[in-house]
Amino acid sequence: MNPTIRESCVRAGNTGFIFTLTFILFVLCGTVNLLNASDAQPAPSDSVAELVNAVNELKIRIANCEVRLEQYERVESESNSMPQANSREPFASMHLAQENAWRKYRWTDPAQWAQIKKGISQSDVLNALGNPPRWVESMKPSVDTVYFYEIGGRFKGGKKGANLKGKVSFKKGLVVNFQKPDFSNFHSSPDRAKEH
Amino acid sequence: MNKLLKLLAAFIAVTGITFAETALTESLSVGGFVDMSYTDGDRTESTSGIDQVEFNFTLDNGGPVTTQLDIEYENGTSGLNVEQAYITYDMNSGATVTVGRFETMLLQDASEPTGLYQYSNAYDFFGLNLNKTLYDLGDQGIKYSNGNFAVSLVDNGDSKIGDGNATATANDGHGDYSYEISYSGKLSDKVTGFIGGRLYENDANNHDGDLFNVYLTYEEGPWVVGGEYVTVDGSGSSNLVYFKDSALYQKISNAPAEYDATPNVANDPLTPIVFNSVDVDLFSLFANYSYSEKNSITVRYSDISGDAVANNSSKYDVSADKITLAHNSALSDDLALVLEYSKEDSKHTADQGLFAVELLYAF
Repeated sequence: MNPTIRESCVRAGNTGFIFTLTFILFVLCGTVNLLNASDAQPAPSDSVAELVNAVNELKIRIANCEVRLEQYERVESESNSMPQANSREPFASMHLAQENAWRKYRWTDPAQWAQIKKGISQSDVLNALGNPPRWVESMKPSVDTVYFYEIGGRFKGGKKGANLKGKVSFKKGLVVNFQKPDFSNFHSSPDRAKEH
Repeated sequence: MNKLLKLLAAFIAVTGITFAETALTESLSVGGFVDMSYTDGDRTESTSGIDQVEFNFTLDNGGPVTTQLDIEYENGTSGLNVEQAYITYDMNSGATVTVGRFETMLLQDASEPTGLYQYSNAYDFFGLNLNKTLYDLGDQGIKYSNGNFAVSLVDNGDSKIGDGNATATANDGHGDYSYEISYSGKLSDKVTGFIGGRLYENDANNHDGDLFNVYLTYEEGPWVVGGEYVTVDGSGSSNLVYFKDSALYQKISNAPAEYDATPNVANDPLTPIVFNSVDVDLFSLFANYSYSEKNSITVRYSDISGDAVANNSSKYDVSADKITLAHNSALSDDLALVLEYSKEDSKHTADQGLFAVELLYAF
């Protein structure tokens, strides 16, 4: 009478029994893995690589944000600490830069557009928004002149940037129509939103 | 101050953006237009293409001096032309002094197609455009203007004002120059008026001719109506090229085309006939009605009548009239489509119809 497997294991001791069971389980698991090969999950090493890439990308973006923040803080601190009478050159250049920004770009501030209403004069519009980057004598009979307030931006890396487009139409020197820029759209650009 | 700072910081912060599309500086600006058309009529074969492209450059540093340079390309002329080039000095009292090449202030029709309700000019008769002749005189000189008043002294091509030498340009051996005086202003909220004239002289103290012009424009709701009167009285040396053009003689006398040739060509058996003196009156009436925010229609009647004496002493009746119907549709603020049909009636020729489609883009 042939000895049973258990009897063989008992004779050979517990070590042999455990080895035999492990071998059988290993063969069974390998078979199941081969059968499910088509929907196999990514190897742990791939996931780690992806995580590393994501972390690196985040590091770069954080570094960029920190640079921008430093620039902002530097401007603010210089402006606050700058004496009015002394050190004329830095004050003059800052002042000119501010004046330049105000003169050319105040129309990019939504608060300035809040002053624009139908019926106000051309000079009121110029006071609120500054000189338009572009204007035309309108081809429409209901309009004399149109001021276009536009910026077409191009982001670093070649991505076409968000555009700010607004316009104000005049007839006989008075506003007859206007279109505010879509500021929400401008700031919704991922690069731009994170920069601020 | 906070707002200033915020704006400045915002624009420093977005240094990653380059405004590549803002090509001009704060002091240099450019504008202009592109004018293209298709025409078909009894007088000529159908034509299509770009009629004119113009760039207007303005340099304004915020000081009292501004510079203007208008460069145009016109189909049918050779290459680029400098239409206007002048410097204006603001005397800070509402008065300005302009020196250079500038256009006349005369005539109701705008000198550029972007300022017209129609395709054609009012005084485009016999296939020759008097409006354009006046605008293209190429006057160079000096102009003083103070609000609505302007006076100018201009060189008409062979003047001793310019170079001290009388050239043979006008074939009269004398330098020609002219004075132009004009006044325009609002007569009421709805009425605008203009009165002006031009006196042509030469260095032999001969009065060569004169041109007088008056027009009114009335606006009421969607209506704009206007009328103009022009009278021209002068000799052939007054540089009114329209009347010196031998083509005009050929047009109104049904003369053979040879008369259209260049005068004084050696061995030319036919000496072209030009007019030594003219005495003509022109007038026009128009009504423009805007039936929607973007569309308007225009009806115009224009007329020329008078006599011209040719260099062979023959007297010719220079008379014609024209009725114009035009539709102007603004596709956007800077793009317009103009349709026109006009019919010219002259006793010299059969009625001349003209159909035109014009596309205008201003920038």
